[in-house]
Amino acid sequence: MTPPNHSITELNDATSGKDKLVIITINDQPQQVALNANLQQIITQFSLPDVGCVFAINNQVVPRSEWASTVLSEGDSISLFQAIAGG
Amino acid sequence: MSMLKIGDKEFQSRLFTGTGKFSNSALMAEAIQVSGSQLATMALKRVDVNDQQDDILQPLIHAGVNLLPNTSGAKNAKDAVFAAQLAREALGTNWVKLEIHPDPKYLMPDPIETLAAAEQLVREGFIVLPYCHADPVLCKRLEEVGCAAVMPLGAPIGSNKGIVSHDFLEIIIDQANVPVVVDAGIGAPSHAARAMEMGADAVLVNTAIAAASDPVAMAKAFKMAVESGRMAYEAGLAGQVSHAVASSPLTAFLDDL
Repeated sequence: MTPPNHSITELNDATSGKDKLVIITINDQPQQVALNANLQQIITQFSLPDVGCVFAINNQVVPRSEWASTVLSEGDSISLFQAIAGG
Repeated sequence: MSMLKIGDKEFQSRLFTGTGKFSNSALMAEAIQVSGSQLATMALKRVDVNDQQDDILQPLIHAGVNLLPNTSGAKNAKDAVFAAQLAREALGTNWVKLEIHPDPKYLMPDPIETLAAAEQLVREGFIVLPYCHADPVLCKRLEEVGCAAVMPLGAPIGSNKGIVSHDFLEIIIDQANVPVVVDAGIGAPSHAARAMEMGADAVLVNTAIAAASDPVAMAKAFKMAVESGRMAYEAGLAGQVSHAVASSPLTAFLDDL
Protein backbone atom coordinates (compact mmCIF):
# COMPACT_ATOMS: atom_id res chain seq x y z
CA MET A 1 0.00 0.00 0.00
CA THR A 2 1.30 3.50 -0.84
CA PRO A 3 1.93 5.52 2.30
CA PRO A 4 0.21 8.92 2.48
CA ASN A 5 2.22 11.96 1.41
CA HIS A 6 2.23 13.68 4.75
CA SER A 7 3.64 12.29 7.97
CA ILE A 8 1.56 11.89 11.07
CA THR A 9 3.79 14.43 12.83
CA GLU A 10 2.87 17.03 10.22
CA LEU A 11 -0.80 16.28 10.63
CA ASN A 12 -0.53 16.60 14.37
CA ASP A 13 1.22 19.93 13.93
CA ALA A 14 -1.49 21.09 11.58
CA THR A 15 -4.12 20.55 14.21
CA SER A 16 -2.04 22.16 16.98
CA GLY A 17 -1.96 18.87 18.81
CA LYS A 18 -5.62 19.16 19.82
CA ASP A 19 -7.10 16.48 17.56
CA LYS A 20 -4.37 14.04 16.79
CA LEU A 21 -4.86 12.11 13.59
CA VAL A 22 -3.91 8.62 12.63
CA ILE A 23 -3.97 6.87 9.28
CA ILE A 24 -6.12 3.80 8.85
CA THR A 25 -7.29 2.09 5.69
CA ILE A 26 -10.95 1.82 4.77
CA ASN A 27 -11.51 -0.64 1.92
CA ASP A 28 -7.77 -0.46 1.18
CA GLN A 29 -7.78 3.34 0.84
CA PRO A 30 -5.74 5.35 3.40
CA GLN A 31 -7.89 7.74 5.43
CA GLN A 32 -7.15 10.17 8.27
CA VAL A 33 -9.21 9.74 11.39
CA ALA A 34 -8.96 11.14 14.89
CA LEU A 35 -6.76 9.27 17.34
CA ASN A 36 -8.94 6.82 19.27
CA ALA A 37 -11.86 7.28 16.88
CA ASN A 38 -14.43 4.50 17.05
CA LEU A 39 -16.52 3.03 14.24
CA GLN A 40 -19.56 5.15 15.08
CA GLN A 41 -17.39 8.24 14.61
CA ILE A 42 -16.29 7.01 11.18
CA ILE A 43 -19.94 7.06 10.09
CA THR A 44 -20.23 10.66 11.31
CA GLN A 45 -16.90 11.80 9.88
CA PHE A 46 -17.69 10.60 6.37
CA SER A 47 -21.39 11.62 6.51
CA LEU A 48 -22.59 8.08 5.89
CA PRO A 49 -26.18 7.04 6.55
CA ASP A 50 -26.46 5.20 9.85
CA VAL A 51 -28.86 2.60 8.48
CA GLY A 52 -27.57 0.50 5.63
CA CYS A 53 -23.89 0.58 6.57
CA VAL A 54 -21.86 -2.23 8.08
CA PHE A 55 -18.24 -2.74 9.09
CA ALA A 56 -16.10 -5.84 8.93
CA ILE A 57 -12.67 -6.44 10.36
CA ASN A 58 -10.74 -9.46 9.09
CA ASN A 59 -13.88 -10.66 7.29
CA GLN A 60 -15.84 -10.70 10.53
CA VAL A 61 -18.94 -8.54 10.74
CA VAL A 62 -18.80 -5.99 13.57
CA PRO A 63 -22.21 -5.84 15.26
CA ARG A 64 -23.69 -2.35 15.46
CA SER A 65 -23.72 -2.66 19.25
CA GLU A 66 -19.91 -2.79 19.18
CA TRP A 67 -19.33 0.23 16.95
CA ALA A 68 -18.88 2.69 19.81
CA SER A 69 -16.46 0.42 21.64
CA THR A 70 -14.38 -0.52 18.59
CA VAL A 71 -11.52 1.99 18.74
CA LEU A 72 -9.16 2.41 15.81
CA SER A 73 -5.38 2.60 15.98
CA GLU A 74 -2.75 3.66 13.47
CA GLY A 75 -2.51 1.16 10.63
CA ASP A 76 -5.83 -0.60 11.25
CA SER A 77 -7.57 -1.92 8.18
CA ILE A 78 -11.35 -2.04 8.07
CA SER A 79 -13.96 -2.89 5.47
CA LEU A 80 -17.06 -0.76 5.11
CA PHE A 81 -20.11 -1.75 3.09
CA GLN A 82 -23.33 0.03 2.22
CA ALA A 83 -26.68 -1.08 0.85
CA ILE A 84 -27.14 0.07 -2.74
CA ALA A 85 -29.66 -0.52 -5.51
CA GLY A 86 -29.64 -4.00 -6.99
CA GLY A 87 -31.81 -6.71 -8.47
CA MET B 1 -57.14 -13.23 -4.02
CA SER B 2 -55.24 -15.27 -1.49
CA MET B 3 -52.31 -13.81 0.45
CA LEU B 4 -48.81 -15.10 -0.09
CA LYS B 5 -46.94 -16.28 2.97
CA ILE B 6 -43.16 -16.64 3.02
CA GLY B 7 -41.44 -17.35 6.30
CA ASP B 8 -43.19 -15.21 8.92
CA LYS B 9 -44.42 -12.54 6.48
CA GLU B 10 -47.65 -12.22 4.52
CA PHE B 11 -47.78 -10.39 1.23
CA GLN B 12 -50.79 -8.95 -0.52
CA SER B 13 -48.73 -8.21 -3.61
CA ARG B 14 -47.20 -11.06 -5.53
CA LEU B 15 -44.92 -8.74 -7.44
CA PHE B 16 -41.44 -8.48 -5.97
CA THR B 17 -39.21 -5.79 -7.39
CA GLY B 18 -35.54 -5.08 -7.87
CA THR B 19 -34.11 -1.63 -7.23
CA GLY B 20 -31.25 -1.70 -9.75
CA LYS B 21 -30.86 0.10 -13.08
CA PHE B 22 -33.25 3.00 -12.39
CA SER B 23 -31.93 6.35 -13.59
CA ASN B 24 -32.36 7.86 -10.11
CA SER B 25 -33.59 6.84 -6.68
CA ALA B 26 -36.70 9.06 -6.72
CA LEU B 27 -37.91 7.32 -9.89
CA MET B 28 -37.09 3.93 -8.37
CA ALA B 29 -39.09 4.70 -5.22
CA GLU B 30 -42.07 5.99 -7.19
CA ALA B 31 -42.11 2.98 -9.53
CA ILE B 32 -41.92 0.54 -6.64
CA GLN B 33 -44.71 2.33 -4.82
CA VAL B 34 -46.96 2.30 -7.90
CA SER B 35 -46.18 -1.40 -8.47
CA GLY B 36 -47.69 -2.17 -5.05
CA SER B 37 -44.65 -4.35 -4.35
CA GLN B 38 -44.03 -5.14 -0.69
CA LEU B 39 -40.61 -6.72 -1.12
CA ALA B 40 -37.68 -5.09 -2.91
CA THR B 41 -34.18 -6.40 -3.44
CA MET B 42 -30.98 -4.51 -2.66
CA ALA B 43 -27.28 -5.17 -3.02
CA LEU B 44 -24.25 -4.40 -0.86
CA LYS B 45 -21.14 -2.64 -2.04
CA ARG B 46 -17.83 -1.61 -0.55
CA VAL B 47 -18.10 2.09 0.18
CA ASP B 48 -15.79 4.58 -1.48
CA VAL B 49 -15.98 7.28 1.19
CA ASN B 50 -14.84 9.86 -1.35
CA ASP B 51 -17.48 8.95 -3.92
CA GLN B 52 -20.75 8.16 -2.22
CA GLN B 53 -23.92 6.84 -3.82
CA ASP B 54 -27.51 8.05 -3.48
CA ASP B 55 -29.15 6.82 -0.30
CA ILE B 56 -31.85 4.57 -1.73
CA LEU B 57 -32.83 3.14 1.61
CA GLN B 58 -34.82 5.99 3.11
CA PRO B 59 -37.44 6.24 0.33
CA LEU B 60 -38.02 2.48 0.50
CA ILE B 61 -38.29 2.39 4.28
CA HIS B 62 -40.59 5.41 4.08
CA ALA B 63 -42.81 3.55 1.61
CA GLY B 64 -43.03 0.58 4.00
CA VAL B 65 -41.43 -1.87 1.58
CA ASN B 66 -39.71 -4.92 3.06
CA LEU B 67 -36.09 -5.24 2.07
CA LEU B 68 -34.55 -8.32 0.53
CA PRO B 69 -30.76 -7.91 0.40
CA ASN B 70 -29.03 -10.05 -2.18
CA THR B 71 -25.59 -11.63 -2.17
CA SER B 72 -24.75 -10.34 -5.63
CA GLY B 73 -21.01 -10.40 -6.28
CA ALA B 74 -20.55 -13.65 -4.37
CA LYS B 75 -18.67 -16.21 -6.42
CA ASN B 76 -18.91 -19.07 -3.94
CA ALA B 77 -20.72 -20.19 -0.81
CA LYS B 78 -18.20 -18.58 1.54
CA ASP B 79 -18.60 -15.14 -0.09
CA ALA B 80 -22.36 -15.48 -0.05
CA VAL B 81 -22.53 -16.35 3.64
CA PHE B 82 -20.34 -13.35 4.46
CA ALA B 83 -22.50 -11.08 2.27
CA ALA B 84 -25.64 -12.32 4.01
CA GLN B 85 -24.11 -11.67 7.43
CA LEU B 86 -23.13 -8.15 6.35
CA ALA B 87 -26.61 -7.48 4.98
CA ARG B 88 -28.26 -8.71 8.17
CA GLU B 89 -26.25 -6.24 10.21
CA ALA B 90 -26.63 -3.37 7.72
CA LEU B 91 -30.35 -3.67 7.17
CA GLY B 92 -31.59 -5.42 10.27
CA THR B 93 -33.25 -8.25 8.35
CA ASN B 94 -32.53 -11.96 8.31
CA TRP B 95 -34.08 -12.29 4.85
CA VAL B 96 -31.64 -12.89 2.03
CA LYS B 97 -31.83 -13.43 -1.70
CA LEU B 98 -29.05 -15.95 -2.14
CA GLU B 99 -27.38 -15.55 -5.50
CA ILE B 100 -24.04 -16.97 -6.50
CA HIS B 101 -22.95 -16.46 -10.07
CA PRO B 102 -19.26 -16.88 -10.78
CA ASP B 103 -19.46 -15.91 -14.46
CA PRO B 104 -20.40 -12.29 -15.24
CA LYS B 105 -21.29 -12.92 -18.89
CA TYR B 106 -24.33 -15.12 -18.38
CA LEU B 107 -24.80 -14.74 -14.60
CA MET B 108 -25.76 -18.39 -14.32
CA PRO B 109 -26.33 -19.41 -10.70
CA ASP B 110 -23.87 -21.99 -9.35
CA PRO B 111 -26.11 -24.80 -8.06
CA ILE B 112 -23.49 -26.54 -5.92
CA GLU B 113 -22.32 -23.43 -4.09
CA THR B 114 -25.91 -22.20 -3.77
CA LEU B 115 -27.05 -25.40 -2.06
CA ALA B 116 -24.07 -25.35 0.31
CA ALA B 117 -24.62 -21.70 1.21
CA ALA B 118 -28.37 -22.21 1.63
CA GLU B 119 -27.80 -25.01 4.11
CA GLN B 120 -25.43 -22.92 6.21
CA LEU B 121 -27.55 -19.77 6.11
CA VAL B 122 -30.66 -21.67 7.19
CA ARG B 123 -28.64 -23.04 10.13
CA GLU B 124 -27.68 -19.46 11.02
CA GLY B 125 -31.33 -18.44 11.15
CA PHE B 126 -31.70 -16.71 7.80
CA ILE B 127 -34.87 -16.72 5.72
CA VAL B 128 -33.27 -17.89 2.49
CA LEU B 129 -34.70 -17.23 -0.97
CA PRO B 130 -32.25 -18.74 -3.45
CA TYR B 131 -31.99 -17.61 -7.06
CA CYS B 132 -31.43 -20.81 -9.01
CA HIS B 133 -31.82 -22.60 -12.28
CA ALA B 134 -35.25 -23.85 -13.25
CA ASP B 135 -34.04 -27.26 -12.14
CA PRO B 136 -36.76 -29.29 -10.42
CA VAL B 137 -34.30 -31.54 -8.58
CA LEU B 138 -32.25 -28.60 -7.30
CA CYS B 139 -35.37 -26.75 -6.20
CA LYS B 140 -36.46 -29.79 -4.23
CA ARG B 141 -33.01 -30.02 -2.60
CA LEU B 142 -33.13 -26.31 -1.69
CA GLU B 143 -36.55 -26.84 -0.16
CA GLU B 144 -35.26 -29.82 1.82
CA VAL B 145 -32.41 -27.84 3.40
CA GLY B 146 -34.94 -25.31 4.65
CA CYS B 147 -35.18 -22.49 2.10
CA ALA B 148 -38.32 -20.40 2.63
CA ALA B 149 -38.99 -20.20 -1.11
CA VAL B 150 -37.24 -21.00 -4.37
CA MET B 151 -36.56 -18.47 -7.10
CA PRO B 152 -35.95 -20.27 -10.39
CA LEU B 153 -35.10 -18.21 -13.44
CA GLY B 154 -37.44 -17.67 -16.37
CA ALA B 155 -34.51 -16.69 -18.61
CA PRO B 156 -31.03 -15.19 -18.05
CA ILE B 157 -30.91 -12.12 -15.78
CA GLY B 158 -31.77 -8.91 -17.62
CA SER B 159 -32.43 -10.73 -20.91
CA ASN B 160 -36.17 -9.86 -21.01
CA LYS B 161 -36.76 -13.11 -22.90
CA GLY B 162 -39.69 -14.23 -20.77
CA ILE B 163 -40.62 -17.69 -19.53
CA VAL B 164 -38.07 -19.65 -21.54
CA SER B 165 -37.88 -22.31 -18.82
CA HIS B 166 -41.65 -22.94 -18.99
CA ASP B 167 -41.72 -26.75 -18.95
CA PHE B 168 -39.30 -26.99 -16.03
CA LEU B 169 -41.10 -24.30 -14.05
CA GLU B 170 -44.29 -26.36 -14.40
CA ILE B 171 -42.58 -29.32 -12.74
CA ILE B 172 -41.09 -27.11 -10.02
CA ILE B 173 -44.48 -25.55 -9.26
CA ASP B 174 -46.14 -28.97 -9.23
CA GLN B 175 -43.62 -30.41 -6.77
CA ALA B 176 -42.94 -27.48 -4.46
CA ASN B 177 -44.07 -27.25 -0.86
CA VAL B 178 -42.58 -23.76 -0.56
CA PRO B 179 -43.53 -20.69 -2.63
CA VAL B 180 -42.06 -20.52 -6.14
CA VAL B 181 -40.97 -17.04 -7.22
CA VAL B 182 -40.05 -16.75 -10.89
CA ASP B 183 -37.00 -14.51 -10.95
CA ALA B 184 -35.02 -13.18 -13.89
CA GLY B 185 -35.83 -12.88 -17.55
CA ILE B 186 -39.36 -11.51 -17.20
CA GLY B 187 -39.39 -8.74 -19.81
CA ALA B 188 -43.05 -7.85 -20.27
CA PRO B 189 -46.24 -7.85 -18.21
CA SER B 190 -47.53 -10.72 -20.37
CA HIS B 191 -44.56 -12.85 -19.23
CA ALA B 192 -45.43 -12.11 -15.61
CA ALA B 193 -49.08 -12.96 -16.22
CA ARG B 194 -48.06 -16.22 -17.85
CA ALA B 195 -45.93 -17.21 -14.87
CA MET B 196 -48.78 -16.40 -12.51
CA GLU B 197 -51.34 -18.31 -14.63
CA MET B 198 -49.03 -21.33 -14.40
CA GLY B 199 -49.32 -21.16 -10.64
CA ALA B 200 -46.12 -19.39 -9.67
CA ASP B 201 -46.60 -17.82 -6.25
CA ALA B 202 -44.88 -14.56 -7.19
CA VAL B 203 -42.53 -13.00 -9.72
CA LEU B 204 -39.51 -10.78 -9.25
CA VAL B 205 -39.07 -8.01 -11.81
CA ASN B 206 -36.34 -5.43 -12.11
CA THR B 207 -34.93 -4.62 -15.56
CA ALA B 208 -38.28 -4.70 -17.37
CA ILE B 209 -39.55 -1.90 -15.12
CA ALA B 210 -36.32 0.02 -14.55
CA ALA B 211 -35.29 0.10 -18.21
CA ALA B 212 -38.75 0.93 -19.61
CA SER B 213 -39.24 4.34 -21.24
CA ASP B 214 -41.72 5.13 -18.48
CA PRO B 215 -40.82 2.99 -15.46
CA VAL B 216 -43.74 4.21 -13.34
CA ALA B 217 -46.35 3.33 -15.97
CA MET B 218 -44.60 -0.01 -16.57
CA ALA B 219 -44.68 -0.72 -12.84
CA LYS B 220 -48.44 -0.28 -12.91
CA ALA B 221 -48.74 -2.53 -15.96
CA PHE B 222 -46.83 -5.25 -14.10
CA LYS B 223 -49.00 -4.83 -11.02
CA MET B 224 -52.12 -5.41 -13.14
CA ALA B 225 -50.59 -8.33 -15.01
CA VAL B 226 -49.54 -10.11 -11.83
CA GLU B 227 -52.96 -9.60 -10.25
CA SER B 228 -54.70 -10.71 -13.43
CA GLY B 229 -52.52 -13.79 -13.81
CA ARG B 230 -53.03 -14.82 -10.20
CA MET B 231 -56.76 -14.26 -10.43
CA ALA B 232 -56.89 -16.43 -13.55
CA TYR B 233 -54.94 -19.19 -11.81
CA GLU B 234 -57.23 -19.14 -8.80
CA ALA B 235 -60.30 -19.05 -11.08
CA GLY B 236 -59.09 -22.25 -12.78
CA LEU B 237 -58.25 -21.96 -16.47
CA ALA B 238 -60.47 -23.87 -18.88
CA GLY B 239 -58.54 -26.76 -20.45
CA GLN B 240 -57.21 -26.77 -24.00
CA VAL B 241 -58.55 -29.10 -26.71
CA SER B 242 -57.28 -29.59 -30.25
CA HIS B 243 -60.65 -29.38 -32.06
CA ALA B 244 -63.35 -26.69 -32.13
CA VAL B 245 -66.06 -26.73 -29.46
CA ALA B 246 -68.96 -24.36 -30.15
CA SER B 247 -69.61 -21.66 -27.61
CA SER B 248 -72.97 -20.80 -29.11
CA PRO B 249 -76.10 -22.96 -29.67
CA LEU B 250 -77.03 -20.91 -32.82
CA THR B 251 -75.52 -23.50 -35.17
CA ALA B 252 -78.37 -25.91 -34.55
CA PHE B 253 -80.97 -23.16 -35.13
CA LEU B 254 -79.47 -22.29 -38.52
CA ASP B 255 -79.42 -25.97 -39.64
CA ASP B 256 -83.20 -26.17 -39.13
CA LEU B 257 -83.97 -23.38 -41.63
